[in-house]
Amino acid sequence: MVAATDDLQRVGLKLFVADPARIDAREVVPVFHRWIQTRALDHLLIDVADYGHLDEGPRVVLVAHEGNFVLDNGDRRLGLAYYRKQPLERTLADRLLAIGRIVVQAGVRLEQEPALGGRLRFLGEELQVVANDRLTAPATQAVLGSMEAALAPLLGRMYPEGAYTVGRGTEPGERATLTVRATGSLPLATLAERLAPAERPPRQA
Amino acid sequence: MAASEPAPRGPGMTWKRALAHAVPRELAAEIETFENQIALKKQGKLDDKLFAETRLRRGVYGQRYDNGRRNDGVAEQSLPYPSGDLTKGPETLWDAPGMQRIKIPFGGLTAAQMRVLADLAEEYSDGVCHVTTRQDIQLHYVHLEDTPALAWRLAAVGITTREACGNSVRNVTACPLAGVCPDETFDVTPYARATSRFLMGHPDTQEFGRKFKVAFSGCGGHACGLVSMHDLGAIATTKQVDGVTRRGFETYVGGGLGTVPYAAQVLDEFVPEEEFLPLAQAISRVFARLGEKKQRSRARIKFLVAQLGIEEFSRLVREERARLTPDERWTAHLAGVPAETERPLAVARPLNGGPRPEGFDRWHRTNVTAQRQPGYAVATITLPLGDLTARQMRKLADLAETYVKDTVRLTVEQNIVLRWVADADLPALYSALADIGLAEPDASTIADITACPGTDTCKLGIASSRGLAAELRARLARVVQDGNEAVERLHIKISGCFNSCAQHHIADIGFYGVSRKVGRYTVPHFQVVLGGQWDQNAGAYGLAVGAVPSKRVPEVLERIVGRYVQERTGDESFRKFVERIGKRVLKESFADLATVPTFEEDPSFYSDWGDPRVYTIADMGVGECAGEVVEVGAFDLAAAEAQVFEAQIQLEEGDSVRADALAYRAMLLAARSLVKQELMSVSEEPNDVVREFRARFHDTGLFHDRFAGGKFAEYLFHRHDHPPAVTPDAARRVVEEAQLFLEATHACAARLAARPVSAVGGAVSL
Ligand code: SF4
Repeated sequence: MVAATDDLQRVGLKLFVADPARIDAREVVPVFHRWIQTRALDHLLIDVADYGHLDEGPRVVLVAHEGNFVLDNGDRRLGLAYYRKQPLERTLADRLLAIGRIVVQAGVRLEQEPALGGRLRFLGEELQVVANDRLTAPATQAVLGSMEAALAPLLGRMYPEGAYTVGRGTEPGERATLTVRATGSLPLATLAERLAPAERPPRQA
Repeated sequence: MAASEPAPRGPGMTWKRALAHAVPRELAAEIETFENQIALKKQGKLDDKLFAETRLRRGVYGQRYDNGRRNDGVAEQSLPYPSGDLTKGPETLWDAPGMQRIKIPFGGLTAAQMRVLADLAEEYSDGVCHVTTRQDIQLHYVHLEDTPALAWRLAAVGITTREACGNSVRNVTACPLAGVCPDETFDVTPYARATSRFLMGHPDTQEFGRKFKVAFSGCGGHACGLVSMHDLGAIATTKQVDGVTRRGFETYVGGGLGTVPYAAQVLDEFVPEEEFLPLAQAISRVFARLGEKKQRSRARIKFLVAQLGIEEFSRLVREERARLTPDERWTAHLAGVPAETERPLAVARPLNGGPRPEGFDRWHRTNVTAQRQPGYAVATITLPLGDLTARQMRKLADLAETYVKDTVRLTVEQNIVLRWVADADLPALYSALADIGLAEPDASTIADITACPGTDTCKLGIASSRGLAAELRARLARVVQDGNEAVERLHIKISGCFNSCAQHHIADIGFYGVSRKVGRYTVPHFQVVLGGQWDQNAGAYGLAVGAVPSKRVPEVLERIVGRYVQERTGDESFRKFVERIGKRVLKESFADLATVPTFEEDPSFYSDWGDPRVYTIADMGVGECAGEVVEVGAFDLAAAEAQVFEAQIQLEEGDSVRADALAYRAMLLAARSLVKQELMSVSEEPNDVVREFRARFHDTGLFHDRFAGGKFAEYLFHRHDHPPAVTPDAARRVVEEAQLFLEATHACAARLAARPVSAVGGAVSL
């Protein structure tokens, strides 16, 4: 049977900043520009949009062909979101896993940016998943249920002990949104390790 | 299925199928055609230029770096898009994200439309809706292949992107207070709507050589309609005919900003309401028939009106009008006009002595305007740089539904107004706006700066107008807080280049982006424009007084405003103050700020506001090649700058003949500065200079701007081939053109300096 969200390609995934008061979103502008210079990410990086004058929503956007990286203050909670634009192969679960890896790797890279002096840290135990496509995935319970099922493999990798809860966003007009909360606190680097693709076993001689 | 029913969703569904029931057949056919054209272009079956104009007419614009190249501050990088060389227009790559302009006639929005705009910004753009100076909405970083879906969704709520760009009738604008303004003669909304509908897609508007902008104003005194700067402008007026009050319009043609601004001229002091649409049609026909087609730079109707003279233009229009076949659409809207008044949602109740939230009083002072209808007010939502997030747009739609319903308008100051707010609801509305970050005060004050996209996203941008505006806003909020009313009322407008999309000519203090070569670097600068007038429908245009480094603009502004505060007499306006003090004196007060420290002393001057990249570093790596000759050129160019400034002073002092002569001389000097790079022995004789300049820089394309082509060189040729300008208007144009010619000379000199030795054009001949 075709699940409600099988066709869903435009997905957003957001990590939250641990201590937003320690960072001014505009500090990330030069960092993103440098990422373009050094081709720091495995994306075709195009430009940086500075919305530092806005109080809510996107503050700084690193525009890439495949998807946008956004320092986002949506719901007045600062975080790093990745919104996928170009299609990925295979199932939604595979796509969510790939998108999870992309945003976590970008988050770790930001945490390690010398220019930010270690002040930007992300919470490894919290995550927001957004279906950025109101046609394919309207915010219905069926869609949210199907998204939740597709998210399970990613969450299984992130939180192998299974200690997490998933909340469903149902605000009128908003996109289908899931909010994941794991117990305890978890450094983003740990998540990155857990999401790293499995090493291939060495070839037999 | 009724239009209001939710569209079917789910796997395999397309917006076209989902919304087919809700989109009028004609709009659907247009979008389908566009979808087919996209498919044909992808298969290589449509010509590049043709497709470019096609998509422009659907509001689908290019955006900076869409040629696949971007300077990252260190080097030029190519952007290897997956579709490779496939293009969507000349030098515009298929995969490169672009801008979608969405026409909103007279800026009028309903809550349902706002929600769709919010959804589109989230799903296809970067989550931000941008309000333009012509009451449009723009979304950035949109992919071409998403644009049909976007068009279907807009069409389902009654919005079309048709003719949002291209050589067509652009968005018809009108006062955002139309219908509720205490000063208006009558509500121009129904007329603006009818004009928009009538001219869109009309066969007589399809053969223009350039765009055509129409504006309506409810009165002549305020700025809301900005009629003077439009191709066709209409100011509401009435006349007693046989004891009956008749509605009509004082009608203007041939205005426009752009590189060289023209004030619109009166075509007819009273055009009866039933005659306005046929007149607009007749004007369109004259423009389509006689307007310039080949030379884009002279193709706006302002050039045609100036060339023919208003009397002859008017005669041709009358002749054309007499030939028109009657069309019932000319007057079909008039029957509904009296009934077409907005109904308030809430009962009128006064703002009583109830508790006021913190910040409310300041917001009320700057952002609330009493309506003509007692008990109601218009609340202005100040949008920083014209931006609001998708979520803010959606929440604002909710507030509109709660407090005013569908009476929302976008403004030419890049804000949004909610009309028909019951006075008593203002505190609650303010609190609700504060909750969504939209309760900023200072609307229409010095801190409410208008800025075009500039280098952020515009392909033509030279300097960061938005970056500068963000910086100035932050500094100027304090000024408003201090409550100096004279300063508070000033308007600042910043364009990223001479094209004036932010309307810098009509600001009290305007800026437009230019660049200057300093040693081996190019440094972002802004020209300071003083003396414009915002009131009286953009009553007067300012003139550039000198360029200053981008990073010095805040200091320059502080000095200009400081002098105004100190030396103002009585309630003297800023414009009058500039006239009295004189531009020469004002310029002297910031002359020391025109210098640029060396890169080693202060590298921050070599980046623009909000953009840490070293500005156009591609201009580095200059061979020692052009060093010397550029020095020679720079000397002459400086002399040319002095001449053009003197020309402005003469203009101000009423000596048009001398102003014209000085401006012409400045162009000759600038042209000679370039010629000397190849032919040191060139004489000062105008014919020699023009001949050599034409052969060496115009005909070779060396002087050509990447986007404007040979337009600026034409300014020199035109003046050289024509008798001196004697009227103030004509002289003023020559001065403006000379200023732009000088800017182009700076740019050309910088390009030459960047070329390797062998490419500079051979040995210098003595
Ligand atoms: S004024 Fe120049 S930079 Fe600004 S939007 Fe217009 S063309 Fe672009």
